[in-house]
Amino acid sequence: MDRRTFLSTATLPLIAPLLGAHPAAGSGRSSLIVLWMDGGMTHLDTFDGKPESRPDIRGDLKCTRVKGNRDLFVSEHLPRIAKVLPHASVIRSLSSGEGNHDRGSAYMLTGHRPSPVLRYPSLAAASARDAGPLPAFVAVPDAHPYAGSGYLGATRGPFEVGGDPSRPGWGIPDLAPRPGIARALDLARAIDRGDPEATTLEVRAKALALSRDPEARAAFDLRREKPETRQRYGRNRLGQSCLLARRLAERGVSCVFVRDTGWDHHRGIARALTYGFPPKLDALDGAVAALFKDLRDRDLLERVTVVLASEFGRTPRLNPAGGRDHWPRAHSSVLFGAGLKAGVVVGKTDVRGEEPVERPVSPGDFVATVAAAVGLRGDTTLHTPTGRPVPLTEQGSSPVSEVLT
Amino acid sequence: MRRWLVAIAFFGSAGLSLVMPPDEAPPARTLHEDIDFTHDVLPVLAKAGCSAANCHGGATGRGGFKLSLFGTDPRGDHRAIAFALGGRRVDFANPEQSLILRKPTLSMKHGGGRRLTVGDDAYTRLSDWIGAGAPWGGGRVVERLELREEGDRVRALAFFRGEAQARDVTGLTRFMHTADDRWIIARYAGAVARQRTQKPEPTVTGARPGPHGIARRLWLDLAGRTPTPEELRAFVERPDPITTARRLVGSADYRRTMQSHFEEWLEIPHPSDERTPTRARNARLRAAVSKAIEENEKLFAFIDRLLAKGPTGDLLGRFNDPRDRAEFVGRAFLGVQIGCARCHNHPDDRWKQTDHLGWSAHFVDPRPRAGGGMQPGTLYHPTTGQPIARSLPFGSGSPFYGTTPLHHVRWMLRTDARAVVAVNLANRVASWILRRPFVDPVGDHRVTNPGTRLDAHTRLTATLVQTDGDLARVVVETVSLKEYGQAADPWALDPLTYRRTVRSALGLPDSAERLPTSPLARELRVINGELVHGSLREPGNAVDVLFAFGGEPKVWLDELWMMTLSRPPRPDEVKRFLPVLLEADDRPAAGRDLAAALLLCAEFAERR
Repeated sequence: MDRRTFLSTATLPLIAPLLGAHPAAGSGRSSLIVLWMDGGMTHLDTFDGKPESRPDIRGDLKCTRVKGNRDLFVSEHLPRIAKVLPHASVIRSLSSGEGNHDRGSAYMLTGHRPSPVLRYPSLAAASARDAGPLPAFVAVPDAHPYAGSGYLGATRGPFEVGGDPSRPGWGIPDLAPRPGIARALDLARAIDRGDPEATTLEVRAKALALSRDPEARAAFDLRREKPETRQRYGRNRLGQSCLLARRLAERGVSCVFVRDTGWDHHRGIARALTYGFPPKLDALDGAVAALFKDLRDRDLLERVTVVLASEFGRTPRLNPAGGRDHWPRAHSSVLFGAGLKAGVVVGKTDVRGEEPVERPVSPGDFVATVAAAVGLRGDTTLHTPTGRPVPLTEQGSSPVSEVLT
Repeated sequence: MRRWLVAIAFFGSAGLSLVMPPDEAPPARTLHEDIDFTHDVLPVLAKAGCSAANCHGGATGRGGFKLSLFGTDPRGDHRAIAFALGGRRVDFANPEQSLILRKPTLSMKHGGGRRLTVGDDAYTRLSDWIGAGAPWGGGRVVERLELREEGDRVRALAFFRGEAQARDVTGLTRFMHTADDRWIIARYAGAVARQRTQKPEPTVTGARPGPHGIARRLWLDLAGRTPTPEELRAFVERPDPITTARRLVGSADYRRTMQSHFEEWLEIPHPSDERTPTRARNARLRAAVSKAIEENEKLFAFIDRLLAKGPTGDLLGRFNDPRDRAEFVGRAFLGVQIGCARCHNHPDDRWKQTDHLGWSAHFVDPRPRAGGGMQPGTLYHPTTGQPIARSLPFGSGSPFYGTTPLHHVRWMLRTDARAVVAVNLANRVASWILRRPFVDPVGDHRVTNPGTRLDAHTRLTATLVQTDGDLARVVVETVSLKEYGQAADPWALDPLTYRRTVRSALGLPDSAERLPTSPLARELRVINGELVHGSLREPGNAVDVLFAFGGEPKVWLDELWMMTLSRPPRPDEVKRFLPVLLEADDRPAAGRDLAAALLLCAEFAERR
């Protein structure tokens, strides 16, 4: 038994409770990359294929068995991700009662059912911590409304890069210092220095530090990547967003939220997923596989946790328009990287993909799992501005220990 | 053989007890008269901390014993104590042997420590109740709790329905002080009361702003911009905040500023944030708000007009769920945060889940009648599926009691009951003008959330009631409050006001640029973007005009400070920054840099 195995299996369960850490959590805090498929990603046509089911359930898209797993079927349009899955964990039994986009997203992103009186922060915001001039929490290109900081306040919210990173000439507006304003900024600092009441200086200092640090600014510059790398991720919004996420996580940004819209396929789902420039599944396949390979090749899999998720799944039975509607009772997520085991498949749905028949996992459990993977204590408590203690996830949540190292 | 001897001994002794005369009956216990579990026993446990959230009142209880949080579920608690665990928590024959007494007195191991003392009133009350068979009792309903000061003590008196005399429940009441020590909050059996202490309002520290500071405040608060140098000099020459406020509330800048406040109050989103289905409704609401502000429509009439359209009108029809409509009306108009009760009975307020459902039931979309016309819709219980009876948790007194709450709320707006709405509105005006509401959070006027500056709050409320909700009057009244002229904490300008202030300081019309909401992104936009630097390059901006007219550098310096910070430069600032102009080869360029610095500095970005 090597040292790492000994530590993780034999001693950590003993030591971890003394240290207050979750027994199954990673040994330190890792960066988190959330790949959010906004709109409700179909589970049957991605990671929970049902090749034996009726045509009106399995649809027009075929799926293939993942090597090494007898009953894990993924879309044939995700061949590169299929090769990654033996190195990842898959949760097939996510289930909640929230079939509304906002409510479902809130639940999956915050670990709490949405409340009319308290806006919960997302795990991304809750886990973000400052590390140098770069923002702690970045959203590419923008954050979901429920991925923000909630009651933690705007200063803990995401820095949205905006635009489409795949477009030529894309950059973050107003990031670079404006020519000729150095003197004005120095004068402003001099004015503030003589002002004991100034309260807005902290964010100003952060903005100046980011703007004036060429290395920090360079983290957002995709032109510094080799063309073949950019090609491998895919010259599309999702691909380049994932590449940007890797660059930022590599430089210590503690959370990057990549949002890919357009997964709300109520009509013609087969065509919607396989046609376009690029086809949606193809873009997902290239981006996620490239991200995994890149992290592995750069020895970042021990420092970065990646989660692919959506607010709910889609109806197993195709509707008359050839689409699938909202289905929160079953959906899937893929996780890999720091704090996570490889090749684990948790949960199983029935033959139609309607309900979990093994190991149902609530969104609260899911968020608790990701929190544990990035190294957050299981009993982490946040506080509202009035001092009210609020647990990180809703009561009754517990991490899916099967996927945690 | 030995087995038979044991059996004979056992049954023999039992038989003996049947034929022997009984022991003397134990002495009669002294019972507290007509003991009632909810009002006499549960409060003991609450006061001892047994039913607190960190103990048996927590979500999963402690040590296998679960109570409701501070006794919000008396029936459930009675079952847990008297019947659960095979009834082993209570010993009717020997109450002192009951687990529920032995543990908190540390007669046996108890993780919660000592909570009761053998023989004290709380212990005796519990013991007597157990000895009486742990009855439910019931029947009493506490209508209100009052606190009376007697010397240095506070007594709690509970008024029960049907009883002429109040009961002294001081020993059963939980008392706490607010963080600032100016209020005592008392809780007994679901009733809440509060009382002011003798501690005075904290005195404001810090220097009072001079006329320049007051002018800047007035213009930022009422007009959403800084005063021009001319306006500033005119005010400083003859400082009259009240007259100035009266003039400002008639201006287009004031109307624009109030429009933003109203849209936030009525939760009308920015056009770029709204969803397509509500776009048309929001546009009509914005127009209605604009008209009301322009005409200074009385606020009660304005609210009445909005509510008259019912659950499907623009104001409430934006919400799909009747519970969302009900909560909106509660917080926007009545100062009631009933939303907590959607999920649980709230120990800090009197609303129960049944109240929330009964209130929400009024806001269901109407349905067509079989014979024509419309009838109120039905709300069904989310768990049981049973229809919910409509109720008004805010009490009777309205001739519309028992009908829809919209009629009730509208009745309130036309009668003395409008004071409830006025309290909430006065608080909102304070948050807009003083930047500091009396009650925080705004819209949460529960008993356990007492506010500050009660006198000022009362004064503004009275003004609203007496003037039928004259917004302009109460805005001017707010400016006339003593605290308006006192030191205040710096308040960062919101993105919209900051943009308008930059543009107006430079004498330019407002732009449509929307600053990012993320503080870091906004700061990058401000320091590197077009708002400040681009505005300083626009033809006709006030800085260019200033330098084009010529003059002395000291005059320029004064004007730059007046234009941006609404005050002349201090002597140390003159000493530090006048050389920037004097020593520059290109004085207009240096002046532009100095102007940019002033627009970027913290003082400009804050309301003080």
